[in-house]
Amino acid sequence: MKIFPFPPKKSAASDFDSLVRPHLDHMYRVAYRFCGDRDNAEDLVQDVLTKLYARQAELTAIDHLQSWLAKVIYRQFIDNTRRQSRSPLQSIEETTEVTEAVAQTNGQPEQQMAQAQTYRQLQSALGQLSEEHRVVISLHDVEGYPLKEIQDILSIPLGTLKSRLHRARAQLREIISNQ
Amino acid sequence: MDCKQLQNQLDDYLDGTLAEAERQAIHAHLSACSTCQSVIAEEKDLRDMLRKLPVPPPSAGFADRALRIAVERNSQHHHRAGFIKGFGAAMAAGLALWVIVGILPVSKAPTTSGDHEISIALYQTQNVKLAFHTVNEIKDARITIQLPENLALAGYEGRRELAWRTDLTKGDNILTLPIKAQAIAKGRILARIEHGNQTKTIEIAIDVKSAGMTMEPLLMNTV
Repeated sequence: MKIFPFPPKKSAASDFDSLVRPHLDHMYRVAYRFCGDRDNAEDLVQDVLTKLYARQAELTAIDHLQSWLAKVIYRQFIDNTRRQSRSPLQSIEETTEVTEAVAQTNGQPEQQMAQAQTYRQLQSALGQLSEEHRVVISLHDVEGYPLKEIQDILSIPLGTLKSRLHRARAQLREIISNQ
Repeated sequence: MDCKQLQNQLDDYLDGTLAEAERQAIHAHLSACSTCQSVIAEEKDLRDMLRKLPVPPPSAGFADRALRIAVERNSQHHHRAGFIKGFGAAMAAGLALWVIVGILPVSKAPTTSGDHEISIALYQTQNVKLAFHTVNEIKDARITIQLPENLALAGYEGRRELAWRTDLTKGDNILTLPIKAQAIAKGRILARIEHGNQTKTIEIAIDVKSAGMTMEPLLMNTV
């Protein structure tokens, strides 16, 4: 008689870490684009991680994990936003955050200040968009996701996505021109 | 093409999704229209800025902290569950439910043996022993265990599926599954053994009842 054991035990936590950690930066980045500020982006990623932990077997079977994770973040963002029913408009903290991020790039202080001002206006304009418009612009124009992938993330037809993107850009241009 | 038509196709043009003929028409219009040249240049600038829009880094230690909290929140859930059930665990210790299955001769078509049903108590860890009887030694078989949502393997919480390779000796091979019931529900554990193009699947129906409602462990003896 042979008594055979389970496979060499790796803890579930360690498995989860190796599976998800390589994608954490991108998850935070997408979350930041949707939320518009660091604290909410971190909370959103935390909510997603907590839910995903119990779904490790499912995660290991996903072919394009990065895109799948963006989809999960999008859904959680929509859930959170509906639940909180508060507008994630630009806050004072964001102003500091953009300046801080620009300060990490190279360039003269004057250039940096001008650049920071431009980015602040742009971030503010994005914050004034509706959620669905901000999401499509963030994914396509900011993060460079191809339309096909966004179609899958949002689960909407290509025609709907293109017209939503068109309206979102028009709205963004209008906000910028009124700033 | 006129300016209005170009405006309508601007997004597709910059997204690179226009057909070649339409793209050429836009180029022809642009070569003679300075207004549309400015519109395109402004739009390109905007997209360029959007693409470069910075993201402030997350707070220090965010990745480590977020992963740790995700694990903690899930394990807190399990600990709370364990505390509530409490008293029944000692009684269950040492008891084992047996499912004895003959797996040879193995047919080339996938086969399933079912009708193994056992009851276990909520929140208790119960050893379910599978005895596989083989006529010959099987090298490098693949074992897969799949669990329903309400069950977990002790030590492998959070995993719905566990798969690994092992050798089966001639005769009886015993696999002990320490099953933890996490919710009252009926479900099925699937144990699959694959070797080459041969597959044998064993289904074990598990009925999780609240502590105090479970029957005596059943002795399964099915080939």
